[in-house]
Amino acid sequence: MATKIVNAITTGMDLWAEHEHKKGHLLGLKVDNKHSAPETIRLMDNFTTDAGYTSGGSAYSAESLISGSAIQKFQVTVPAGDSISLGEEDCKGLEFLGRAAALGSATASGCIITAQYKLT
Amino acid sequence: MLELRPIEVFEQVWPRPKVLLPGHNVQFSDKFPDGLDFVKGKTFRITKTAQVRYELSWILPAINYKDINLSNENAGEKLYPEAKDEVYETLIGFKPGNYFTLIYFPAEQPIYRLGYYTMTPLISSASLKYLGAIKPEDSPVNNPTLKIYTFFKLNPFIFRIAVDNGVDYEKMTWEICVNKCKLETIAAPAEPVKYIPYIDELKW
Repeated sequence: MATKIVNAITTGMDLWAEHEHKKGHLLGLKVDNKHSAPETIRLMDNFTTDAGYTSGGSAYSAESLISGSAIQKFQVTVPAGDSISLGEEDCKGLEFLGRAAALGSATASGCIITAQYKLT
Repeated sequence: MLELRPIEVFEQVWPRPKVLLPGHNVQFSDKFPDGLDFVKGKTFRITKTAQVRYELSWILPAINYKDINLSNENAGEKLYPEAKDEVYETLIGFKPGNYFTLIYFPAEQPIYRLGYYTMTPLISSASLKYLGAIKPEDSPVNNPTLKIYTFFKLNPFIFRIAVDNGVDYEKMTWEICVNKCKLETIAAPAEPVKYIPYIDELKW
């Protein structure tokens, strides 16, 4: 299990890099919001698909689902001065195919995000 | 030439190697095509082996598929031997996920089908896409049961990997172990011997 601590930033902070042959599994998440306003944290999955075919046989080009096109996997809002903690049971099934990033609704050095995860 | 065994249960178990080892004998079917006359109907002893591990992954959207060519062709994954006196025994384990695999040899000729003329795998069909489909739990990475034998100049095995309904995207990962075997011709019959049929014998 690995841990990453980042601040809430609107442009996003990486929680872990994409592994070519592994998925990422979130095992725990803590958001400690010492900021003066509520903070909404979104966890985004960034990856690129391979080219292939649709079930009807039409060619399908590789698609980049990164940054603005990333897939949202989780969202939580933490009131000002509050914190939330999610354990393994809460995060069960939260799976990332590529790079995981945390985006805050506001950039706030006082809002700390701690993620525990493993790659399998 | 291809094995996908169900989980076997025995009351008493004698250890049996999962892969070919030095000193083992292999006998190739006489049904192999003439272009593969260097193995057709012949018996060999394995003189040395080496296990090479490899991983491959793809990410696709739901209900999409991709054809994976295992041969040494330009578009292939190049998992075949390049010498006539070698056979590659390749075990493929699938990491868990919401996907399945159909096997073709050669392209567009499914290995697993039934007798009635419509009972052939069809990826665009809600039911026939599951005909002969291999799911990750059928050959898991910690105990792969899917094994193929490949030789120099063998036609390509095509693995059609498809994301199943129910997820937006899926990452499909194979853990591969290529057991490289060097062959030495011996006079048949030899006992014990592992018989390797040609794929057409499996497509009845």
